[in-house]
Amino acid sequence: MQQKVRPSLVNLSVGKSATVHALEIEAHACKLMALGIEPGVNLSVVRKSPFGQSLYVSVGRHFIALRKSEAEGIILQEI
Amino acid sequence: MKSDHLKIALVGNPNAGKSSIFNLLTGLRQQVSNFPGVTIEKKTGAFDLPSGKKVAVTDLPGCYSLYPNSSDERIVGEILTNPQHLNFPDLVVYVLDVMNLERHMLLATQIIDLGIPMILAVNMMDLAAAENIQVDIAALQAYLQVPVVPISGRTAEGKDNLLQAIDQFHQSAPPHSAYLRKEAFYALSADEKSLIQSISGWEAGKTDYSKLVSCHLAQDISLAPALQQGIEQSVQSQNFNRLRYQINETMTRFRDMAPSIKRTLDIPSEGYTKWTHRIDQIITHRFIGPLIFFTIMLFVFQAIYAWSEAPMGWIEETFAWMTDGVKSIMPEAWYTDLLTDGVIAGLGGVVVFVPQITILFLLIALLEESGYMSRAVFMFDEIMQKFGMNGRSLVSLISSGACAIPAIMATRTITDWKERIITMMVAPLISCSARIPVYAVLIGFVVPDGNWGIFNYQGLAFMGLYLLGIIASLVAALVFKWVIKSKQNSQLMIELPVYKAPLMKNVLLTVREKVWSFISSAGQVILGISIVLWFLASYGPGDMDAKALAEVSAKPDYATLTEDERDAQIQGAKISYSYAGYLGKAIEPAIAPLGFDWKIGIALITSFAAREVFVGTMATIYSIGSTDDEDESTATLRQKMGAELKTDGVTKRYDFPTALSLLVFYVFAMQCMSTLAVTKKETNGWKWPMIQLGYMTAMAYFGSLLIYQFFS
Repeated sequence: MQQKVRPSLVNLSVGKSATVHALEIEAHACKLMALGIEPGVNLSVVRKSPFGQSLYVSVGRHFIALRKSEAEGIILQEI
Repeated sequence: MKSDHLKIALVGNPNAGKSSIFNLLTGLRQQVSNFPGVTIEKKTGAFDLPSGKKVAVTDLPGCYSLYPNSSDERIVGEILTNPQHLNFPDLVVYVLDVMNLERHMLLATQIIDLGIPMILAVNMMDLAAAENIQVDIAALQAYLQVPVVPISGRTAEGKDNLLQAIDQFHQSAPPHSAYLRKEAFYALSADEKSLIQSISGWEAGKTDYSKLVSCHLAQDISLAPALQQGIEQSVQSQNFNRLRYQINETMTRFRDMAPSIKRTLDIPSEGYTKWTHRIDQIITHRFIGPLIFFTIMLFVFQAIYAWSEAPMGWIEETFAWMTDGVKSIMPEAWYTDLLTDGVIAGLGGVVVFVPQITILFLLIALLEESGYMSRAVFMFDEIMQKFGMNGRSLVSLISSGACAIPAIMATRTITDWKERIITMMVAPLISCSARIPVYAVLIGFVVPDGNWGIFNYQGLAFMGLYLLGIIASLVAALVFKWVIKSKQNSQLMIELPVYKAPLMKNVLLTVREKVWSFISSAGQVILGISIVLWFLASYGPGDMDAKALAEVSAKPDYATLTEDERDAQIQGAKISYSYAGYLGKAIEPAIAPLGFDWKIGIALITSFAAREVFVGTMATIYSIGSTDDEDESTATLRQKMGAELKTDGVTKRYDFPTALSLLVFYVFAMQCMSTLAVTKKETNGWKWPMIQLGYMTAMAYFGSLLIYQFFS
């Protein structure tokens, strides 16, 4: 069976949206869920920070700032 | 003990407007203290119910879940899972943002499962109304099975209903079933059940969920040793992976309540985020964003400088008047001197900075309340990370421009220990208000008066000194980042709340609290030190007066001096025969390579406690009589210093190399006992304040040494 390699939030370009598939970094999972990022939810990258290491993300009606290292753990269904 | 008071705890997510509700209920009847044994701020207040019953309310730190993310959040779980805890409430008032209903319900369901009576306050109803958002309060209440009160912290609408609801609770009899849910939201899994059942010695009155949470938090909160051991043993033997169960529980809670909660909220459009979205297109733009930030900061510091001048003048006049008043009323004696030169001078030294600190906190509070600060954190986190700090450290570094003390206290919001320590260690290198008088006196010896285009030379020099402090703090941060080894727990993950007009009531109450904490913490230390220094500078071995008189009268121009001038000269000579004077002479060999003499040595010693003391000490040493006009005495001081010669009798003492070296010394040196005291308190020990003292003194010494040797 082919294992699909899914993209993470860092692969999502500015202005695009995607659906969350899973949260891979356990240490961040609870907080991300509390912020509204959980499997099945749709989010989009609004912009990046000056050097590109942080993301301004919109989830539903809310805006959240994440580091690239945190975004790496947010696995998307597809881009 | 306040057993006749009703004990309430205010709980909720960050950005839910919890502090607005707290301020609404308590007004000025609030204060900040510490939770015992931990450096976590405890905000408490009091208010009365319509029935007359008194209420003591504690505002617990905002958090997303009982499972803590930062060090202050763990106190929430610690208190709410322990019915015997001093701060365990009779009732929880849970504050949530109606716009964020689904997210904010997580913690609410957890607390309900703990079995603590609750009233839910649905906040920000004014914003909801403006956006035509409908909330089915009855349906929410039916689902939660606890009273729900719609309210607005901003307009105060609903306040009376909330007070009524609390009053009804007070009048209902235990077990207060109308405020508890019949079944818990979360049903423990078999593994979780067997875990809690395998442990004995649970406190009375805990629900199963409460026991489970205690198991999760056992390593982070204080528990009875026997219980803690029991928990650890069980967790180990059952291979209980805490994190996995927390994640599962969180997912289950959200999944289970989603349908019911969705039904209670009707949001017609995404309209209300439109403005925030537009504003952020400029504010967080990749290039314009940081530019805007620096412009705002420039404005902030210009404002501090400009607006504080007048109040500072009044304060100095007031304290001078007090000193004169005391001197005229009381007899000439040591205790009068202690009162005027020790106590009043010491207090004056603290109070004079209140205008600057107030303005800085006012402006920072406005930026935070509006939501702007979180954008600044977003933009600068990556840079801060390079230096081992967090985006949140930015607020601390900015605050240090007024005073490092509140800046160090502000690091409590930083999750990662290493980031927090680094921020605490380097913040004092940022030039604070107390350094300004020192810079003002010395800059004239380094940089001439005059302009370069529209820029004033001395103004540029001032900026240069500030820049030096900022660069030094970043370099020091890098060194600490490289040296300190620690487990990483660093996070950004922050909400960028919708922009809101700052609620002035909140802002003013925040400023009041911060200014007061500055006065009390800095005040105590500076007062104590001022008295010690007064003693060292006023007393010495042998007959100081005789020695001073002998020295001064031996001078050729003695006969031509007026009475006042003679007195001033004798005072100046006296200090060299005091303990402080002998100390200055003793350290002279060590500081000579920096271009300093023993007179500067005395000033270095006295200003060790608090930088601004430097100017006063120099004024005494150079026999400046006291005048009311600070500018006049500074000018006179500069004149006198300018006339002073080195031992060779030819070169000026305060030539370019010495003055520059002294300036650089003051940029780097840790001359603030209050800062050390706060660092000690925040780190629970002497290790880190001593490291602060050590590395900054070394930087100051070698910095000065290099400068002086290079330029002379």
